[in-house]
Amino acid sequence: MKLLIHQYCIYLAILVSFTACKKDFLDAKPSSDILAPATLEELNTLLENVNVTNKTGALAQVSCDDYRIVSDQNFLSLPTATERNAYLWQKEIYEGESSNDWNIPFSQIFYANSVLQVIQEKNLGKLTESNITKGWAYFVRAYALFDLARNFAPSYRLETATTDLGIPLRQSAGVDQIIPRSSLQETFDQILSDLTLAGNLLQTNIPEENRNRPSKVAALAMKARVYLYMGNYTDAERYCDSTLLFHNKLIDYNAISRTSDTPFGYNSDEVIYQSTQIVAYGLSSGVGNPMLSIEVNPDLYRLYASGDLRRTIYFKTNSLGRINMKRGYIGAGIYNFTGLATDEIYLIKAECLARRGASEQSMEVLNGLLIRRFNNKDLYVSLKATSPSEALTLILQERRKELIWRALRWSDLKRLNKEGANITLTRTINNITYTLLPNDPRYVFPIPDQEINYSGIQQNIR
Amino acid sequence: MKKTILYIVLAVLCLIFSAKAQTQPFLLTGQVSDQGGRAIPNASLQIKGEKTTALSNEEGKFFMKSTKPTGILTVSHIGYEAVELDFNGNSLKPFNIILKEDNSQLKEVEIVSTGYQNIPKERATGSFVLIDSALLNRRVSTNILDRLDGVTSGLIFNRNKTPGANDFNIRGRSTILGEDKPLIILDNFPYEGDINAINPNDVKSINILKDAAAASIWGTRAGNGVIVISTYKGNYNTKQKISINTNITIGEKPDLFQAPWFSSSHWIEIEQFLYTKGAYTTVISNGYGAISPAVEIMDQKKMNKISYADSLSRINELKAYDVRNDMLKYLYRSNVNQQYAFNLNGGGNQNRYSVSAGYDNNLYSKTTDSYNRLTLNASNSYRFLNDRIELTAGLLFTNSRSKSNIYNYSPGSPYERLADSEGKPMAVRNQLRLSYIDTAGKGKLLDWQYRPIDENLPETQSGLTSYTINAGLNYLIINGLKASVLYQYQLQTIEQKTAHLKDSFYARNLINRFSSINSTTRSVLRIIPSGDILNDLRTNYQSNNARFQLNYDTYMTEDHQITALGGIEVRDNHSENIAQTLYGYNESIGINANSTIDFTRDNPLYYNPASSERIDPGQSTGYILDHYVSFYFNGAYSFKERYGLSFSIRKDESNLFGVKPNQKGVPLWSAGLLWNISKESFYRAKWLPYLKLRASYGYSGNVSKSISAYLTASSTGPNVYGPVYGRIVNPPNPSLKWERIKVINLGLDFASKKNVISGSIEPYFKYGIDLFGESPLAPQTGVITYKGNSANTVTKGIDVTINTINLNGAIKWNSNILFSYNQDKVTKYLVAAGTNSAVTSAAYNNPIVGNPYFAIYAYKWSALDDKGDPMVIYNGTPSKAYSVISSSLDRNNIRYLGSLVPTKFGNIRNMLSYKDLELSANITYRLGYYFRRISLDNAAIYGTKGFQSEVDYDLRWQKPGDEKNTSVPTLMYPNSAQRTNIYTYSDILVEKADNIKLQDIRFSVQLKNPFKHAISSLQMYVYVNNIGYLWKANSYGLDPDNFRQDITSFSSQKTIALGLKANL
Repeated sequence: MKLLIHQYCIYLAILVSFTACKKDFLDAKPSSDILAPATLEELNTLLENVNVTNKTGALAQVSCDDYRIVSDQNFLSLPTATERNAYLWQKEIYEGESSNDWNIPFSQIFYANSVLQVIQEKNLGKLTESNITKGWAYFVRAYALFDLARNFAPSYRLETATTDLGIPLRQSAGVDQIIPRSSLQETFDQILSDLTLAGNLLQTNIPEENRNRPSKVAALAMKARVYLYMGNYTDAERYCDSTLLFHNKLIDYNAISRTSDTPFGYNSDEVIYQSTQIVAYGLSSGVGNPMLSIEVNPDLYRLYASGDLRRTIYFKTNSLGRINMKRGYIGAGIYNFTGLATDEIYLIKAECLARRGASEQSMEVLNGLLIRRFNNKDLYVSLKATSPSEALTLILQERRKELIWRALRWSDLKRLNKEGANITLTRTINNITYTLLPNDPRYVFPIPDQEINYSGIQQNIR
Repeated sequence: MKKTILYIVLAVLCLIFSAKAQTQPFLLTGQVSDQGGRAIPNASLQIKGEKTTALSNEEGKFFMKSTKPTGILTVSHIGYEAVELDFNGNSLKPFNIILKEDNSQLKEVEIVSTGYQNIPKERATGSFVLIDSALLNRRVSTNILDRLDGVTSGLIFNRNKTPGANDFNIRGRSTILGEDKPLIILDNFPYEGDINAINPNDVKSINILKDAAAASIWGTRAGNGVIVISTYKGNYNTKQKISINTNITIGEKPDLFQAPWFSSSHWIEIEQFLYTKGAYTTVISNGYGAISPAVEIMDQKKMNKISYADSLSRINELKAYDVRNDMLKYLYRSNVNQQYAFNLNGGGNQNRYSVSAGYDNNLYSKTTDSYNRLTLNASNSYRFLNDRIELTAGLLFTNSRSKSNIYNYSPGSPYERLADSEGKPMAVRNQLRLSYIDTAGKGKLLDWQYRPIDENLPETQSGLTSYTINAGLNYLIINGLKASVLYQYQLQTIEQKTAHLKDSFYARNLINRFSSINSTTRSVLRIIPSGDILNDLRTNYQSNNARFQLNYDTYMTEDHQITALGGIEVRDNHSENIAQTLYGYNESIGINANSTIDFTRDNPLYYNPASSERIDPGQSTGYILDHYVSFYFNGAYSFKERYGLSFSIRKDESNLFGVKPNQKGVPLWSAGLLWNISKESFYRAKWLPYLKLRASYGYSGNVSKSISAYLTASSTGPNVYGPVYGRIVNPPNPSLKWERIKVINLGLDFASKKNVISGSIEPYFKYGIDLFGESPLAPQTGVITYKGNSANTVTKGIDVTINTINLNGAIKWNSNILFSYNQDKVTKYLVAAGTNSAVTSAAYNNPIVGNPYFAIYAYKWSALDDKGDPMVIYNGTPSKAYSVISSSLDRNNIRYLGSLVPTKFGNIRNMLSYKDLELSANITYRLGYYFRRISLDNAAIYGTKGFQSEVDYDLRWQKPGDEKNTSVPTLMYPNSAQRTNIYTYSDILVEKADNIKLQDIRFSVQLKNPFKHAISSLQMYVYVNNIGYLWKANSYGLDPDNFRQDITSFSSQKTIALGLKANL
């Protein structure tokens, strides 16, 4: 019996000591591959995911008139129905294919909301370093929302914005909620308020070696882009001025290699915020590689004067003798730059000046940019305009030339046609000519089938 | 809670034995064995006139007490003649009791094992299948699990789903996204290493635990059933036995001509058509992209580089070749597997031992692929202190080496040639155009040609070393109460090396890709230095398991028997892997050139400098760590051997990620009842002397390591700017729970007089609760698919086993018939499965409420229209609106046809013997399932390997009117994916997969005492496996379990094995 008591005590001792060390044993992290982000450092790694956060849609590039497809055969061999249909501005474009044009910006919003949510749940907002992370998340959300708005919502008109359909505004990371479409006015209010929040929280200067990260300058520059799209030229100019106050660097193209296939790095001086086109539709919208099925719109290419360095820095002749795009401010890769850069800000500034009648000042700004694009062996002949409208025409043409292949042409067409520019696009495939009239509802892309099927939000009428 | 349960168990047990310990009895000890010296466990012992009874243990040993010094001890056991022995308490020596077999009685008692305890099957309330060594050894194989195929009630190999793999389910699939593999237990503890490290010749028996009463003692991991593998151990007081088994298995060469290929000439016609259509224009114009020899000729002719006559004769030359002849000649062989096994076991009074060794050497049908394995298995037990303490130690060692070629040759054209007429290896196209390679670099680059015969080398060698060390201590505290401590350590290391020697195509190609030639000096600059390229992957798996357990087993009085066990188990599993790639490697001096390479640089490609790539650093490390602490209890009570009651509970706590602490532990329990009707006094049916009813109810669980309650991310590596970036894996899910499986099992066991007919019938119901489900979400959430506790399933089934003795004279004829029916149904799935296009094309993941998980859906075929376009019924009328049909969510526009996996299956095995000759054959049947026949595939034909897609080409619509005779659509260029899919996934292509197969035949001759007693017995056997189908429901002659019809997946090959088994 004594023996028994002894044994019982031993079992008890084993049990007790066992319970004590059990907690650590069961708290061990189960895998090296997985982590639950809980610190600002870990949250920043999510925003560093440039494959998600620093991307914009591709449909706008596929549909625009920067380029043409060389032959019917090349058209037929495009791998996705979406790009074939988008090229011809068909009413229905996806044929059941999913579209990252819609999905990726919403992933960006999800990443941003997740980061903001963890900061709130873990009370990280008290730390001063959290400002940058929060500002970053707000910027990413605004950037994504604007990309969605310019592709999937109609042109902004003050008169109708409160009734026009905008984009679902998601403010939390919870995946169990479906948000209906907001009005276009609400969408733009959200974009601008997120940019204001971001501008107040972020550091002022551009992180020179990490231009995938936003800054106050980026928030200001983005506001200039957004106001321009909205047709609010006063505010657009105001934000150009604020941007240029902090960052006005332009690259002198005389210092850039004319033979390299990769003339610029991704941290180029002009880059204010880095983003590139999503990985999609490479055969119709890719750059850098010899793209044998497409060529730069010959009418557009003709506009580059002989002393214009962009003829060799932007373009390259492929083995078929046709003009292809080289890479812009992206370093390597085949999907071009769509981010914010100083040249765009100067062009917005010039345009706004011309629109308010300051034609002389506007030409000064434009020439300040162009002199860095022309070969300095020859004397640069400044462009002159006798009237504000002539200045505007010149500036818009230079805007088109400078900002080719940055996914901006499509939204410019929307904006300019809205103001009466009356630009009609045509394409011919298999001897059929396709026409896109100004202000056609087909300037707004349909929302992908998956979204309509699973959330039931309202489809665009094309 | 967990502690409380254990305390109560301990307290109760202590009280029970302390009460008993107060008497001072005469102790009777001894051992019960059969005439061959084998121990008889569970023999029942009783002293006449006293209430005391006892059972012999696993070694046949028994201990019991008598209040009187003298008396009569009766010893009985089913299947043996009972004996009575006098004893005298004053001169007690251990009894050595030998029981004679009694053929007139029921057959030998089967002992089933749960991995925690061994119980006689007749006392088990749960559902067990015991596969004994005779049945395991009927089959010849390298892998132990293969031997369960076609002989195990309720277990099915999903051969149609994953041919050739160990993909099987016990009683269907009880999960959606969780783990669907049964838990494997090797000698007491879970085994998670490579299953090939277990030599089947070392396995004594396998138990399959199918219901909750049997399996729930394994808790959260038992939801898919449990397979308990027990290896050979020696027995005490047994003569040393030596057995030797050797065999050789020879298989057929694979039949490459089974695949529906276009003939070379026919394929060239199609290539001509595609060439005219401009399908190759883009590739040809870039100058370096690979094109086929025929397209090269067409292009040269078009460019007027060769004459029309030349092109014709060169094309005609190509038409004469079929690359499959070369492949069979140079790349394939008949496979030959050799197996040698040796076992020695025995035991004295104080120790028992078993030592075995095995060697396997397999040469597979690909000439580069082979496998060899050496296994050693030793176990030894000592007992002392009046046999109260037993110490056991065991070691299982495996060393295996496999060789293979990762970069297999895959033909690019049907008329490719691997060797010229003299047998000299020839170059075929790889990624680059042959004419480009010929001139690229003007001799400055390394040879860029790809000659499959030269590359047909075992570049990958993988070595596995595995140790499993067992240690155990059993202490018989007092008669009936045993404490045991068990410990197991497992270490498994796998090192996989892929050596691309410097002359290999892999190395030459990679070096050339990243080379550049200076335009002025003409010197070659290499980013990757010349030398071997070595990929090295090491995986290290370690597990520590420890268990403390108390077992209690006694008759409280004559009529009441209680057995109970309870314990704590701790488990620590740790696996880590490390991979590295060495460039410019020189094996002889052990140096590499990695330090000269900048892995973050974008390097232009030689053939296309505009595009650039980084060099893969090929380095990774990672680990997985599983920690479990478990508490378990199992108790059984039986009354007069007529009624039985069992109860089992287990709680597992683990470190699995992100489950909130209060949900980390899940208590899972089960209860079972049995009623031995034939022991009732009112039972009179003499023709059916054994009749038993069983019922059980309970829960087991299932885990998934891929799901978490928190927002989780994985770190992916540095982005181009330098910082590490993360990817969100899982959106937060605060209400996450583990999956549970509720199982209700009923059983009826019976045996007629002299076992002429015996068997069992077991209906069961399984309810999957809170199963993880993946659901598509609206993309606006930012997440395309999402996992959560979104699903429930119900599985209904029945397992029937019937054994018959048809003849029992000079000729003996026994039959074993298994029938299983299993139908699962998804009863809850929160989010819709997607568009009809997603539903029809989903291969094996298709949870839709009301139907099985593995279900086949199809569009409702209508007909071809007068243009040869497929039409299906959409909203009641034939339609060609392909995109509307595809994206429709209305399930009325598609049909559910049935299950993709068999719902009725089993086998009929007959065994005939006459004197020393034995013949057995197994016929298996798999019924109640469907497969999708492959027909003309517009996408594949115009894809890169289109020549492999000849199916139904001749039947296609070609001219108006054809639609009356065919349903194969016309070919369209370019392919329209939706149009092709509508046909591919329509119901005219769904076929019944039902089949009956003659699985195998075994014939053996047994020679007793040949060679004048040098050998006590010698068996020679022939085993033929995969003999062929006796019947197939489909009329196309397709193998329903391998209908893919391409040369990379072959139907199971027929093999023949010859073997010898000797006992010394």
